[in-house]
Amino acid sequence: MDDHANSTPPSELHQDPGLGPGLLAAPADPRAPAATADDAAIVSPVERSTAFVAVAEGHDVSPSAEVLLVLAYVAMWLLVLGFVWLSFRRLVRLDARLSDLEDALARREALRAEREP
Amino acid sequence: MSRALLGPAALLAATALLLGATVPFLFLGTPEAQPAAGGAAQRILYFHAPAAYAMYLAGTTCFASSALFLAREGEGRDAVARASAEVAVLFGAMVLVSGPLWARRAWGVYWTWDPRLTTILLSWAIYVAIVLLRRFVGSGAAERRFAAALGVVGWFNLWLIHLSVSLWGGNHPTVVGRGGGGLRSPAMAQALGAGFVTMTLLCALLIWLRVRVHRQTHRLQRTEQGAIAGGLLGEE
Repeated sequence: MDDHANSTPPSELHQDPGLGPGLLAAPADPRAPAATADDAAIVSPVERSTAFVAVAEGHDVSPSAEVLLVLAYVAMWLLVLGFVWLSFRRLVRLDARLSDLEDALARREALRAEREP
Repeated sequence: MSRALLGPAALLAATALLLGATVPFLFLGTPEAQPAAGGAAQRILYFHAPAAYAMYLAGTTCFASSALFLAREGEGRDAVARASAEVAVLFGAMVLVSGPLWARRAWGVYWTWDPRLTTILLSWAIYVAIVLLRRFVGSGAAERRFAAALGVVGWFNLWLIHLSVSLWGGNHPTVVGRGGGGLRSPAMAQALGAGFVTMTLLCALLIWLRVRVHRQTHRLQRTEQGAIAGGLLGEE
């Protein structure tokens, strides 16, 4: 899949009429030279990294769309399942406690009725 | 099965069936969108937008029951207001989790203080405040009325979310509805439609479930009070 991701802040993104309303695209840099297949092979020794340096603004490469898609669905449905599970657990406990109490009250009433002529 | 549970059971079955059919369809049956819309990640929106709509539904239920509670207090209205605020928190969380994952792909950032994103976060915080207030502060008359007032105020912010794009612009896309270019594939429209129906059913089901929890809680409290008055339970 084409990795179009960029770290351009949304405020610098522009409306692309070809993408439909509301969808944003990164502006093309007119100064950038056209890339050729040979470019990847030619790396001057000066440009080659000789150390690892932390940068303030990372995220140059976006995670894959498929990974994000699966993550989003897993997170959304885990939230729903967690909510339903907690609610059912609470409901079962409430029903059990209520049933115990009502049984105890009924037994007490029955005893009282037996004692009183 | 008791007659009272037949409706919710049918709702559960319909939701499960629809969900079981929709998820494979939107993964396998819908085409991939253009890269600027997130490519494959655009499929997140088939449940992201319906989850936002379900948050509106739950928020509107919370508003109506809170307004009725403020007009005339009642246990049922209180239970519905509280339950729908909880469900609004859940759907808001789904929106706030799924949206940034799509935005990372389409915009290059997880979050930006766009008007729609900011207003939905604010709305979600209002419903979280209602839930926390009812959970930790208590269920006295004053707390119930204050939570109901928040439920009424929170609903006006839902309108602000909806209008924020047309009022202030921003990055959030408007694809469906006024000003939007629409979904350019019938399969995309079907997937989104199925998402909306699924979330509507799920919203109704979850509100019913939470109302039942709160009604049973009230019933238990009344029974415990009766047991204490009858000497069966000691006062704690």
